[in-house]
Parts: sequence; C-alpha cells; structure tokens
Amino acid sequence: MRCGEALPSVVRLVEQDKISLYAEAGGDHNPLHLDSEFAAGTHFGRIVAHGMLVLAYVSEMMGLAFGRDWLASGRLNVHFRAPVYPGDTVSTFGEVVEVSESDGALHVKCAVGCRKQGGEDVINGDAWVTMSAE
Amino acid sequence: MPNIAELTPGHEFPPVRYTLRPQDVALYLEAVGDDNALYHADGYVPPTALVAYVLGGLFRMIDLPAGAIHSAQELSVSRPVASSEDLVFRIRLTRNAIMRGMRFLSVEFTGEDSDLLHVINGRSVVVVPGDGGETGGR
Repeated sequence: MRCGEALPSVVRLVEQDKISLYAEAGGDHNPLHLDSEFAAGTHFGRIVAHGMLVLAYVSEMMGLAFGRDWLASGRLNVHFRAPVYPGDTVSTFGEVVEVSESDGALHVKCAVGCRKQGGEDVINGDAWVTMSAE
Repeated sequence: MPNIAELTPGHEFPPVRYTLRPQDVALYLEAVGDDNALYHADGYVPPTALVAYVLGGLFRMIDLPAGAIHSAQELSVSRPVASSEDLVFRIRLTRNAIMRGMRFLSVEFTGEDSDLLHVINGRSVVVVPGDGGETGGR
C-alpha cells in the first residue's frame, strides 16, 4: 500500500426493493425509508435510503481492499452528507492518505466515501486499518 | 418505551443481547449486495452489520420520531466476528440537544463477545428534523 493508491470502487443502483430488504435485515422500519406518502410530507419530499445501507458499500470496498484485516482492525469515522433516493446510482471512493509502520505491521489511513451519479458526496470520512505482516 | 425527549445524556439502555443467526446475516448480505467470500465462505459478519444490529436494538427500545435521519457514524472493531456468535451491546446516550429546531441525538456503544471481550465500539449521531421540543440535555 502506498499513499495515493486508490481503493476498488463499489457501484450500486439503489432500488426500493433493496431499501425494503435492508429495513427488514437491520430492523429499521422508519417510514422515511418505506412509506412514500409519509416521505412526501418530509423536507426530503420522497423516500430516502438508510444511511447504513450506503455505508455498507463503503465497508464492502474496505473488505475488497484489505480482506480479513478490515474485520480484525477496521475503523471508520464518516458523516452522511446528502440523501440517497431510490433510483440513484452511488459509487464508493477511497484513497490511501497515510501509511506508517510499527511492530511489524502497516497502519493505513484512507479517505473514503460514496458519491451519487451527479458527483455529489453522500458520505465522506476516514478509515483506518492495520495490515498484518502475512 | 421511553420518549427520546425525556432521556438525558448519560442514560444507559438495557444491554442488547444478540445472536448472529446465519439467516439474519444472509439477509443482511443480500440487502447490501456484498458477495465477499469472507462472509459467504468464511462465515464472518461485516462490521457495518454489527452496527445495524446495535441500531435495530436501540430502535426497539426508544420512541424515535418518524423521519429521524442518520447524520454520522463511527465504528472500530478489534477482531473478526463470526456468524452464530453471541454478542452483548451496551448503548449509552451521550447527547440529546435541540439546535435550530432539530434534535441531535448521539449514542456510544460497545459490543462484547460471550467471554466479555471487546469486539466493536462506535458512535452514532441521529438528527430529528422539526423536533424543537423543550426538553433535552446539553
């Protein structure tokens, strides 16, 4: 891993069926994610995907880039910047911004996030992983 | 079920005991579309799934107004967690404040395994637009 190295992007079309499935899987049945009539009355004006659904794509990217190390030592700190609506396509992004070594392990910091088809960031923040020697 | 407006920072929720049933993890993986072999072949659970289970447990314990949105998330794991493990999540309210007509809630959580060893901790921030209630902490 070197500074400036890009992480593999995950691209997803966010559809209502996935949002509904996520509500069931995560136990988050907020009508903002499921009820178009309710959502129409909010300042969003329509259904919004769960932030944690979109964050899962960032975690998927980290799993692809760092494998088991992501599960053993991963750390994330992100903000949800903008809503994702059904029909949006989102792409994760990540770049290594810092690499240090101690005790035979590499400590990697990445700038990570996710953006919509128009280029708007919906999530951004930082992630850290300690890479094992193997 | 307590109204969130009545809770003050420092409030500790009852521990959430969670068994990571393979069928629940499979449903999560289907929803997020993650086909990494770490989860499907090796039987591990994504860190974000653990956060989802924390929040799902929290939402069963509080009367969170409809329309609440997730504003920020932190997580930190200390080892891979496998499907079928039993975990206990401890959740503490750290902020409950009104600003510009919106309620800002922050919770911190830790997750331990059956040996009481740390597996995850994190912080979640939730915003409730239009909630300009008079109660709330700092």
